[in-house]
Amino acid sequence: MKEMLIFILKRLGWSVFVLIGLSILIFCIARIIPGDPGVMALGTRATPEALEQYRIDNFLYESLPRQYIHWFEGAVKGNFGVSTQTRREVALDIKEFLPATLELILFAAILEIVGGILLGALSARYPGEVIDNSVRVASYLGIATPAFVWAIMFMLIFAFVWPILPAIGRIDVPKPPPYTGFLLLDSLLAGNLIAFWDAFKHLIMPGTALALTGVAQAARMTRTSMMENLSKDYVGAEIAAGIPMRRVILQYVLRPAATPTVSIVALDIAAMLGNAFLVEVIFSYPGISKYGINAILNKDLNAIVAVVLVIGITFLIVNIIVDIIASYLDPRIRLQGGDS
Amino acid sequence: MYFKSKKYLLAILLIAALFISLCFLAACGEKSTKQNSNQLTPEGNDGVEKIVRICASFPLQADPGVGSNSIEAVVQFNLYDAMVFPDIDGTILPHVAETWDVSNDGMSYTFHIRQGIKFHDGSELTANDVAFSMNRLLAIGEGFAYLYTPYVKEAVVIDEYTVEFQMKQTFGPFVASLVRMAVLNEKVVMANLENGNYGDFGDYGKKYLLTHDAGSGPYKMIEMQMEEYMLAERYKEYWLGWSGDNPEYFKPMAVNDPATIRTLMSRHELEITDEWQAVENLQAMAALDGITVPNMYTGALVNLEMNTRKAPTDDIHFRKALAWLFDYNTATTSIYPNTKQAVGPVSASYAGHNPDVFQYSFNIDKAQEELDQSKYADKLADYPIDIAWSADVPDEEKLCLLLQQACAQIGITLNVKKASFATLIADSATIDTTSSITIMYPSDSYGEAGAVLNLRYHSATTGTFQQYEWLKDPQIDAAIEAALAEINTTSRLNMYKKIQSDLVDICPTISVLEWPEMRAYQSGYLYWPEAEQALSGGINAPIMGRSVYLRTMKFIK
Repeated sequence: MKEMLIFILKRLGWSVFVLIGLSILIFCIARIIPGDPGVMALGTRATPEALEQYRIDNFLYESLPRQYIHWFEGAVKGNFGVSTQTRREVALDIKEFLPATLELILFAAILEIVGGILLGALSARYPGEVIDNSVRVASYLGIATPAFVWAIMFMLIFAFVWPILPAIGRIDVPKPPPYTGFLLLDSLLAGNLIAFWDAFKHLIMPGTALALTGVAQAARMTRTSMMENLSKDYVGAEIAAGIPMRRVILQYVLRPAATPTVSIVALDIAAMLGNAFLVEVIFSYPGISKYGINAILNKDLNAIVAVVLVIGITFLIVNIIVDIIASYLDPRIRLQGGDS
Repeated sequence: MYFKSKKYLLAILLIAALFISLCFLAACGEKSTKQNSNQLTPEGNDGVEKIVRICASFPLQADPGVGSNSIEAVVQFNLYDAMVFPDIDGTILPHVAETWDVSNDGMSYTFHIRQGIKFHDGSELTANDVAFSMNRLLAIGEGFAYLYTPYVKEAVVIDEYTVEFQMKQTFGPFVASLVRMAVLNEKVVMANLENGNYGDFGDYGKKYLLTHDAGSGPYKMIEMQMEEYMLAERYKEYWLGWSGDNPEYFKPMAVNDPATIRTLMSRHELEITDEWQAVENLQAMAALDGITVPNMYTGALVNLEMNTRKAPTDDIHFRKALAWLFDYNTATTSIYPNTKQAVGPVSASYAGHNPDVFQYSFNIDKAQEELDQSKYADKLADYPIDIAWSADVPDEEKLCLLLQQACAQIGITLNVKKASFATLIADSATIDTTSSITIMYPSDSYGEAGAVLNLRYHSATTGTFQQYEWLKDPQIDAAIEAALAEINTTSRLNMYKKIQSDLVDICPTISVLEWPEMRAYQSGYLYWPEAEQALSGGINAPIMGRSVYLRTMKFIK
């Protein structure tokens, strides 16, 4: 337990430096994107006086280090400035759009983990048989097909040809009170099953489109890993010692086999924050990924830095969680981490 | 083999089946086709939903002091009342301003405000609100303020229903330009001030007006979800009244993907598309039952804007060669079917358009003749040119390829450059970063040629995406300024015509065609007068944003 605590604290300590480095990097990159942020914010027809005021308000005449200091002072207080696109606090935008994407990603992640491990285990159970071959072909298809292609296919099949699922947005019925911003959770907290059901229906197509590549990867990874473990001497010894097969599989084969799968899926989840853009566009899903890309296209400096930082923080948190899970599944990792 | 029995396999299959069933159960529940807009989609007695949903770029700024793009103009026409109103044929009608007087020197306009107009909070619109709205616009300096800041000194209240606009200099098309001066409820704005840069006026209500309106227009905003949608409901007390079949709700939605738009149209979950859909997508939608795609001319032209300050397009003969190289016929029949070639740099929809200026046609021999007179004729290999098009408008690429093919026939190398709209804006900042040719579809704020000429060819707009030509011609500048200052309408329109003729002589722009706003709409259940007018070949609301005016739309029984 103590080792684990030290391990987590070390990770958190390093994370602070990583985040500061990331913020400096993205702050500088955002400012070298072509275009005058004042013009992008107020439009090309804004009066010179209005543009001048904008530049003063946003410290654009000051040196880059001073601009960063102004930004940093605000950021530590949770104030990331005002978005030039939505014209309101970036923190408010993030509060609204981040839960939408996180909900979508969590839905996709559950599909990835459940679907990937189940399919992988099935393949490993019947190596070389029809199921294994089918899963293999399906996995290749899943890996080779980008999420946005799945999204368009789902849109055409389940919303256009056979219109049984909602095509756009997060919810069509009145929203539950925004306790967390996660509509499924908020619906349950409010006891509003109609809203829950509606929000769930809205997640099916974008969530599945986003998950399929990960499901395919997880399935292949699980299968490979399980096959490797099943061929090891210790498994044979355990079977010979009379340990029940169920225990051998669940405790001694699936557990170590799941470690690389969990790592891959977790990294995939973090990457989805950025990759969900096209899926969000296709389903008009108001998420942080779409917001971030629009910010880049429109040189929305404050929004760019804040979104990248949020994605960075999520990535770090997911990494820490992965390390914890991995160390639980494989104690050797915990010991190495504690020593380092 | 390694599993103790097949029951594990069964369990796995059961879990998978459970998930799939859950998905299908969700899918097979009540169809979602009638539930958008948070259940605010009431049906009339005929069972038709009375909501008009339109796809739009978000976030949109509904505040008239801030927003000025196409969809923002649409929203302003529907949430606010302007001083005057453009009729379907472009005629300027009295609106909030019932009558007006102009001083002999053109330096003062006195407007008599219509009595009985109610804001959405029920209070009456008065001269105070008009003066407040103009002064707010001038102070903020965004949105359509550029129309007034060079000319209007201030607005002064004379009495409850009379307001005087004092001018810095004469501005002939001032009344026509007031189609963009939306009137805000002063009390509502002042009651919702936050800290800002405008002294006693704080932020001038900018934050509040992000998600609320303060207007008296036919629709009243009831919800604004940034990056998602805006929802407005019919204002029942609207002073111009209603028929029973007008739309109850108006909902611009942040939907941009072509496949999604087509899907929503097929499901009757979208009534009107945006104007930027590729022709192929529009044709696919037009093939669906009850969907029509009219060509609605709103005063915009498809222009190939040539950088007159950078070699080789700084040479007039080189520019004229390019103008002869463009295949206008293919552009108006295949790329934009059923459109017409532009005549000069101003749309035929605008007052003051000159129909007699020279028109180029596709002629390789003439192009070669002009090219031979160019100082770059014998060194074409040293001067490849580039043409930039906006990635948001796929049809522009076809125009580029058309010109590229023709250029190759006489030895000009034309490189096609795809760029985001933001990049095009950034590129317009300097002569060096501006491409040799840039495709742009400028439209303007009021229905006179002077609006286009001032915005497109005056030196004041160089360095912005309004003008990629970098013309900087003192004579043209002076002529535009003189025309805009002329208060005699006939003289002013003649002056516009002369400027157009001069511009065609120096050929800074290849004016390709009158660009129609092509929006697919649900003609099966929605009567849209402007679209009907367009389908019958008439002029339809020739200024940006006016064509989507919901108060005159009706649901067909």
